[in-house]
Amino acid sequence: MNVNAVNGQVAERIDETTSTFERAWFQGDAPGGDRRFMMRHQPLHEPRGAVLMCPSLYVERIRTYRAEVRVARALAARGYAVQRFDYIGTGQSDGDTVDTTFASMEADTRAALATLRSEAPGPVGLMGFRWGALMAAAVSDETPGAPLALFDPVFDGRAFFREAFRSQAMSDMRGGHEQQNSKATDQMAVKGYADVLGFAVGSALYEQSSGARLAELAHLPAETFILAFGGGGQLKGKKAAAVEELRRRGFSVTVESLDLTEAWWFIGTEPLPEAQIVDALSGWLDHRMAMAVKP
Amino acid sequence: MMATSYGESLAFVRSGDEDLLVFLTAPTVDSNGLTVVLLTGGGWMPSAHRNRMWVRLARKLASQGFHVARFDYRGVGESTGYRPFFELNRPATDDLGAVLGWLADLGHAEVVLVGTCFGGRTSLTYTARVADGEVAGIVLSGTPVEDYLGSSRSIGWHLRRAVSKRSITRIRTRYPKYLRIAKARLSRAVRQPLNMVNAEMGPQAVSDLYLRPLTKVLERNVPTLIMHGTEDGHYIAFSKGMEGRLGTVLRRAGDLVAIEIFDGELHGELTLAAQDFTIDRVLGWIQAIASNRAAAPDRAG
Repeated sequence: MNVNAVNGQVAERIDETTSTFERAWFQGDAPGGDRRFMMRHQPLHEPRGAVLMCPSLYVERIRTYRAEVRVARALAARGYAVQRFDYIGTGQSDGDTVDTTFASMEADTRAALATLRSEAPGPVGLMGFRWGALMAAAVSDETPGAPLALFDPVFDGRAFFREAFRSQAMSDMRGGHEQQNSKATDQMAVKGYADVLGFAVGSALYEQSSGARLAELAHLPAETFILAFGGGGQLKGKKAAAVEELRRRGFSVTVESLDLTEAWWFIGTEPLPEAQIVDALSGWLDHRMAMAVKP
Repeated sequence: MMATSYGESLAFVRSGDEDLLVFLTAPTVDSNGLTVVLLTGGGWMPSAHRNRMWVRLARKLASQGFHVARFDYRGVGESTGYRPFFELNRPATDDLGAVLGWLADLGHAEVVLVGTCFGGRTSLTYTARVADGEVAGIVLSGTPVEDYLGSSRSIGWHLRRAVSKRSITRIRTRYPKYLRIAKARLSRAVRQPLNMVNAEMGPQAVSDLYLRPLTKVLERNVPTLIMHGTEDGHYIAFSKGMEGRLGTVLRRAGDLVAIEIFDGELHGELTLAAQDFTIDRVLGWIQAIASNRAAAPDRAG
């Protein structure tokens, strides 16, 4: 039986089956300022660690959302306090999407991490889904030695947007609009944002992200787990090269590759293999957190 | 003043064995007494919708005096439960009913339902089932009039499930129980083609699961807004349907039905223009509903 509480600005539920607790609320950094949507999953007893989960963006967020929630619930059932959130300008948060920048998302991530650590002291782990991997890496300076669990991470911000723009171009061709729709970069130059498959991508975010690389953002070597999509069950090409770069920089990287491919900019009719994702990510992180050094 | 998160309350609402996360946006001006409920389509779309379309619409509506609710279906977003697929012929009416019951307990009993795709079918099916007066209007945006194969499990899937080796083994070891299950699945598989209509069928493309509830809704004088895009596959079926029974039903309804057609692809809200069109048309239509209700003579009760 679940027990729910209604308290206006905070929604809470207890899951007696898993002995876990969930809280949804809005949090801001200054009175009257924009607030971000926050979601906490944790055990009813004292948590034995804390995990910050950094979400993805755009269409891929729609695809990964449910997996994020299930991983968080699995980790909470294993005894961890998990903090999830929506960047300002995205999801349920306040703000305007076109104003979202790499810097603002990094600030949101740091704020969420601070909230988590203030309420759940103990070993910390970082998790990133797709774009969220860049955010997890960016804030890793605050959690020396914290293990990193990354789901099909974005290794390179420039490559991420290149794929986005190509997907838009493909969609335009499919619809016969390639002559009418200007390139995304041209749109940004004129309007300050581009329409990429129904998402307003601000030029500031694009410019700031062009130099964002996972291997350079991650400040300190850490145990890293990458669960990636790779046709044939193996990472190839640029993904494989990015993993090697992490290793050269001192990261101990474990890779598990799902024998699947995913076009992240298009919503499919089948869900992701969530059970596999949940087991892989929560299992690895639980194992590593037990050996993590307390901050 | 545009609404923000400061005017939003959150709650987990019970639906059967599951908990649904609901956002309720309060008006920033005097309330006009109507509550708008925003429903997403399939594809595990969270309640914010693509590019926060429902968040933006909710906060705009709130600035016009409406309470607005948006929620995740079970198995979607923050809600509990598991949903392996979406089927147009199995809309989420239980979840919608649970949210509306919660709203009614809070005093928000006059609702307008706004749904895209699967959400439209959920709104339509629910409205046809409930008593007169419970729903003040519905919006069907990019809502398929047909039940296309991609939205439902194929006949072969059901047959494979009904006669799989596992099923046969179970029949042998637990004869009565699994034989009933196999018969039920086979029976459903045989009945499935009755709902497997598509645009190639001409005016018959309109599914009974769309037409029957729509007819009932209009007979009850529920204002209805239907929106499609000229490049939507569903618009082909809709246009063909207008040559047949669907056209008869809509013409008979007269001013009760408004039809808005977007020049381009509306279904899926894959462009900012499609989203802006959806927000703009829904906002205007709902404002008209509210104005008409305010101008109407005092209603009984």
